[in-house]
Amino acid sequence: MQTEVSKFMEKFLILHNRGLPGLLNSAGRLLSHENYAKRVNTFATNQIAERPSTSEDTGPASGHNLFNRVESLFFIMNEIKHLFDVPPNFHKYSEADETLDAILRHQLPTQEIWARLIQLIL
Amino acid sequence: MLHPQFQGEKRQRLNPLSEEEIPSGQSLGIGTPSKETSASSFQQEQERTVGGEISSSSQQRGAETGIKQQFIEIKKRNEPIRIQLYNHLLKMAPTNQQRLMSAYDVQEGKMIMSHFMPAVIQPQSAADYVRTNLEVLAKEIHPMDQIELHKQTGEMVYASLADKTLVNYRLENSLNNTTSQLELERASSQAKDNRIKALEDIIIELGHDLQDIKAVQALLKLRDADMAALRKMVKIPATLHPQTEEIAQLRHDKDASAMLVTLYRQLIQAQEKLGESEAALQAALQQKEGGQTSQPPPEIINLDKPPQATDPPTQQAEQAAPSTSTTVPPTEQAPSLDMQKLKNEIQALETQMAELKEAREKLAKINEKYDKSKQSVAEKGREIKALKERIKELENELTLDKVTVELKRVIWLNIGQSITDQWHYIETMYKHMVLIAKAHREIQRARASLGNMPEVANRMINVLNNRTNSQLATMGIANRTETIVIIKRVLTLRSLVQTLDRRT
Repeated sequence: MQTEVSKFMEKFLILHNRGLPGLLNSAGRLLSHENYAKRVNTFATNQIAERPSTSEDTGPASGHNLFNRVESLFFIMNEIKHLFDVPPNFHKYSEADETLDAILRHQLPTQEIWARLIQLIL
Repeated sequence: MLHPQFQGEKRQRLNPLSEEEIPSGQSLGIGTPSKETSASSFQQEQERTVGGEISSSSQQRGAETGIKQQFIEIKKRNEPIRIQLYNHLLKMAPTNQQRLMSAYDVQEGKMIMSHFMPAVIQPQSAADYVRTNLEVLAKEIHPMDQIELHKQTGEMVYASLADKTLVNYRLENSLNNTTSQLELERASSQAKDNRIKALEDIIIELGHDLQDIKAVQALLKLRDADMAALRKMVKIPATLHPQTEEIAQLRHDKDASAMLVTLYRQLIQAQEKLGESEAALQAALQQKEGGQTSQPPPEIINLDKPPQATDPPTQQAEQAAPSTSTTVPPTEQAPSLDMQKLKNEIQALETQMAELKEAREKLAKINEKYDKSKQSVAEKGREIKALKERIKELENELTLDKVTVELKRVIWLNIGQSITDQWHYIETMYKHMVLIAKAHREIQRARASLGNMPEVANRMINVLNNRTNSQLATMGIANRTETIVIIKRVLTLRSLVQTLDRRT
């Protein structure tokens, strides 16, 4: 499970570096889908509304320039579709959660009992 | 549509009127004006009126014949006139042509159109046409179609109004220009009148004496003032026109040419005078050679005082006067010279006036051309501005900014859609992450609490399994199995921790 999470985190970090907004809020919690959609929308609007370069600055745009402008977006668009090689499920999660519950529910011998039992091996 | 009761009245009215009805029937519209407004009744009323006019000459026999008889007779007499009038109208109208008539019934909201197709080559009457009626109910026409019709009609009307307004505006402009020009002409005429009056006053004041030098001098002074005023009036503002220098040069050239012409005329006059004096001298010589006297005329030279170049001509004339008897006295020669000079000056003034007028006309034309060129320059400026804006737009298009923006928008839409599609997987992964973090914390906590308890537990279990019940009883342990179960909790926890560590 840790491997899958790490792989996901690695991929998303790459996407984040390419310009995709982060998934977590300032408290480190995952945003709701609505809020994340708003964040993405705001980010995209700002990026689109950025002052376009004029031909005086850059000259007529070539295909290469155009590709450079949108290459990251194409990368994000393609990679986010393949974010998961195998769609994650809850099989392992349930097992781990069950074990975690067992640990939480498990009770060790009390200190008093354990101190008395220690006498057995002394 | 009329009510049946009204129709009944109408039918009664259509019948010839009785004698009792005539006094009040002279004004047929008084009784039931609103019910007698149909075309047929109006026609009958007109016929009655005409008939009344015609029958006014024979009113004396009206007592014998009844009104009904009179009406029939009048109608008979009017029939040829009516046919003649109808034929005349038919001749006026283009023949052999289809006709379309339309009328709108307000009460029923119905448009009635009649199409007349000529059945013969030269239709003479309504019977020569094939009539097709078409009725359209207004309520069956969709309101949107009605609105569209009114809109188109309104546009036509507004276009006509706009054209008329434009023509009106142009006419107003022309009128304003003409008024301004008239005012200028009026001012110019007034100035000329003032000038003439001033000249007349001077002449009256100083007397019409051609030999009066003061008057001539005053006239010359006024002439100079006029010239200065005219020059000032015609003076072109520096910022008005770029062709000012050209006009000034043209005027200067004209002045120079006029001066040359004047000099040339003076030269010719001098040559003529010289020729005349030569001829006179030759004639005198021939007369003398004829035998009257052989001696040349005595040459008189004044040796008392030579004439100085700085002396004024009048003084020179006064000095030269006693020396010869043939010289003309100055009091006789000066006025004629002054008048000649005055005439020349006036002629020059008139010439200059004509030139000034011509220059003004040219200036007006140039100003007109300048206005036109200014307008065209303004139009070109607007075109250039529009073209610059277009160039800017094209440059922006050349940078593919719009394409980029559109592309980005589309891609972001796709990204958003992909995120939406993947979101529940992302949430799953986040839950995994949360669980892993929690598990790690619990593992750490459990391992800390276990410490070396698992090793001790194994040894304890080993001890318990190797002791007898009595020995365990002396050690205070009543139940072996229960005690081992309690000890195995430690091992169970260790096992769980290992399992969780493996699963996360």
